[in-house]
Amino acid sequence: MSSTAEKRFSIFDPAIRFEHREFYERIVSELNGLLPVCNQGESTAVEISENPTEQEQITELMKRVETFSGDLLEVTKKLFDQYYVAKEALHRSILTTTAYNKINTLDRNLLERTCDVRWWALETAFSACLSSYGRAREQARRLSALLSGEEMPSTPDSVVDGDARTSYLDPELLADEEGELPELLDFAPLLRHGELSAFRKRFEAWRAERGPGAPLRRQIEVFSKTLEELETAIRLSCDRLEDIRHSYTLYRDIVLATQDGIVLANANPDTRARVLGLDVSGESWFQKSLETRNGTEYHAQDISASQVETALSLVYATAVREASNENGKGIGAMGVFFDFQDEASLILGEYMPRDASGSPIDGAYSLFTDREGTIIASTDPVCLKAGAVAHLPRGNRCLGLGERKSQYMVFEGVESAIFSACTDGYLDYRGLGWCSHVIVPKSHLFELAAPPEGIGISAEELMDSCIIPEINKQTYLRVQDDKESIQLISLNGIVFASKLGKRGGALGPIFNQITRTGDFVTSRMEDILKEMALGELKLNLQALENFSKQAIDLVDRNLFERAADIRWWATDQYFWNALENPTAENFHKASERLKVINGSYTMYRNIILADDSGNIVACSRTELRNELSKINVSDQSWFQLGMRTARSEEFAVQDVQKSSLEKSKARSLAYSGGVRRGGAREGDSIGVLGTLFDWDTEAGKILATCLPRDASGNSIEGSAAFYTNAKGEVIETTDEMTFPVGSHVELPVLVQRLGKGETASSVFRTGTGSYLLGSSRTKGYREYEGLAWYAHVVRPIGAGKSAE
Amino acid sequence: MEYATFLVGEDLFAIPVALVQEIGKPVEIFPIPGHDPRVAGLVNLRGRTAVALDLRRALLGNLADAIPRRRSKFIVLETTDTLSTEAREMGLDSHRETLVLVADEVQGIVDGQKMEFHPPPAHVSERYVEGVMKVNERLMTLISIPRLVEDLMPHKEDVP
Repeated sequence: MSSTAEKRFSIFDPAIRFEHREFYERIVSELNGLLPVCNQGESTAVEISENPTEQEQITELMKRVETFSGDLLEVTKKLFDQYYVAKEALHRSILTTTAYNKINTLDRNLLERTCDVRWWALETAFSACLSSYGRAREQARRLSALLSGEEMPSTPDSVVDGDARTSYLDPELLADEEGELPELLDFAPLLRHGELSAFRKRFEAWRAERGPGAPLRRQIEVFSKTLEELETAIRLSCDRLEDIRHSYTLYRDIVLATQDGIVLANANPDTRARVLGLDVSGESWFQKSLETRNGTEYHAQDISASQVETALSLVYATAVREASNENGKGIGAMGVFFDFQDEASLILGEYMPRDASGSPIDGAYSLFTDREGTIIASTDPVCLKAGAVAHLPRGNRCLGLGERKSQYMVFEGVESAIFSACTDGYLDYRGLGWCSHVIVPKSHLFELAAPPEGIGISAEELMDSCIIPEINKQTYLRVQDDKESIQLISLNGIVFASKLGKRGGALGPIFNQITRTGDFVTSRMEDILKEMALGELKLNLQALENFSKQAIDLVDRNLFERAADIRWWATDQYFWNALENPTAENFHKASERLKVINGSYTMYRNIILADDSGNIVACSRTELRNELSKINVSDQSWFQLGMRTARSEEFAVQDVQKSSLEKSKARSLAYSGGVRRGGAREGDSIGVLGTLFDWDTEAGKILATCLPRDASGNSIEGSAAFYTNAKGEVIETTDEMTFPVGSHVELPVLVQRLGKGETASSVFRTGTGSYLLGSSRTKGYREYEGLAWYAHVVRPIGAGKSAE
Repeated sequence: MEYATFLVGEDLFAIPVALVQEIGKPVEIFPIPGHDPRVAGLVNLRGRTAVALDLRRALLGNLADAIPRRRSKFIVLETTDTLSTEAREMGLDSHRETLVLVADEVQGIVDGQKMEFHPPPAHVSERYVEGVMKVNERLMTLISIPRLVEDLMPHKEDVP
């Protein structure tokens, strides 16, 4: 589908609709019918007049008619070429953008995932758990050695608490103990679900049997305590992982593995019995995660099988470091199992061409492939099975980063067009080199568009606007011009005939025929040009709807992440500890913790901890501490709603508005979550954690990517994108002049009536200009409801030079 | 008698076809400074200079908007000299110079025998109105070129 070849669509191209071919044939036969009429005219001239001047005048008129009909034939041929080329180009632009948006949306999501895993791996509960495991295993090994008499004490009875490095030994006393507790040598199986507690019972029984006077009393007591600690640590880790999974619902599981590759804790209680104690040392994500050098590194494991999950998994992994120090020694690994299939099906299902009933049209597919062309996920698991190699043209299979391509091919026996785009990553995230493809039947591209109804723009205004490609406008003018010329020839002919009086009577029917044919042909051509224009309009509106949908979806996804963050952080030990034990030192620690969090999550302007009476006790921007400590927030809705949350899965949000917490900012968006005693999942709030999202920057960035663009990638002049809240107030904009933040925009009724997740488009007239408008209302993302916001994208219709 | 009918604004007017030499597309008009606004200016018709009258202003009043030229039609009139014998016999007259009427649109040619002719209504003061014709419930004003020209250009010597 390169755009370089000129005149790609001859009227005999199979893509040309039969309606158009019929039309073409009708026009050709009409115009050809004029030739004998002209001949007749010329011979009539000779019959009725002997005056050579008069004869010449008539002959000249006839010649001009012949020229014009020849002209019109040419125009008709080119007309369809233009029509189909324009449609093809528009579809190409819309559908490759769709393919690109899909992969981009996925990349943005994956980028968030890489932040998540790095951050979570630094949680103290996990490093503590791994350390506890290390101690227990070491003690078990020593104890086993001691019990079997293999190890001699270097110095007698110099046991350090928690470490059985050296111990007293009396080999004779141990003689009958050999083989009694084989688990001590092979510790790993004890990590299976429930095994550890069973073992502890056995161990305690064994210990009791030995009696208090038996040798190694001290070591055994220490080991018993270590085992208890380990069991507690594992339970705590599982709880924390569950908390994370509750907050960030897009993970199937999160596992913590020991340095030797044994799964110690996981987040999914349903699979815990199977997963705990699994040996993942042979899995690539595990091996790669141990190779990370510090807390900023991670490994993304492309789709592959893992024992942890039955479905194919996309795993993000990094090492868990000693004492949760970013630069500490790796003592284990954390792997997060992203629910990729679910996420991919959400994304793939969007933007598909749909029939009247709302289901995707037959023959339309959407899929992701990896760099080898293997299908990762698709909308049709039968034709495009995950794991198989997609039967795509080679050129579309292997794209360079950021490359886009489209071409025709036969897919599943249907003449189709495929639009592909390769990821170019997002921000510093390079992506996994995946491609997104959208396949639609070729016939869909050239379907006759039913004119959009009630659109509020006349065909004439449209033909004059900058929406219509320049070439079509010129054709339109040319046809109108030809129409006029033919009419004038006939008129002059009739004037001429009438002056001849009775002699001219014979010329009358000839000129009438010319007028009729001329009118018929040119008005049909005008019709088809208008039809083309309406088709263009419809596709343009579609593109704007897609852009607005992209804008609202991206913001929904972003806010979903914000909702996940607040839920997770509100359970952090530092915060409930500070609120339960309100000392200056604890508040200081809480502030330091907030600072660390804010350092990793730069999309927040500030994170604030308030006690149950609304006094701010800690914040991440420590330089604002004094100023903020004077503010009581008990009357602010984020605080009140945050206090009212009863479970850790709940959070509250305060819609974009002016806030006393940020005097320098016109608008703030605050999220809040209740902090509970002991970080419990349920119970009354003892304070509120609030986050101030850097709304303007993030929303502005998203909007800027959702502006309509011309073929060379520049945003179309005068176009704008903005968000409005439920009250119709602009809350962020790309055009501070025309649609300023805080202003009220009187949107078309059609848009005001949009339901959740719906999109609409229409002509939109403001005091300052006329636009095409595409709007989408928030759909929410997963369990996140959204804020009843709308995204709008407009491009001006004003008359003027069109973008070619 | 047959009539050429044309639109000026929303209104329909007619003149005898015998007075029409040619109907053409608009060409450039060169305004005459200081002249009556009803006179659009001078036009060059294949080497012949002619005066163009803006019919919106001439027929609907001086304050009417000038006709947008792009979509207008030029009605080139016969001069007194080129008028056919038949026309003269019917008592028609024109102007001694070539005149161009600038109309919004030319409608077509109609046969006067198929129409009812009414003399100008009493309240109509404009002298150029020769009568009113009714065709299919639609009224059109028949105008007299000599009287229109006389009203417009009392000083014929001013006009080249």
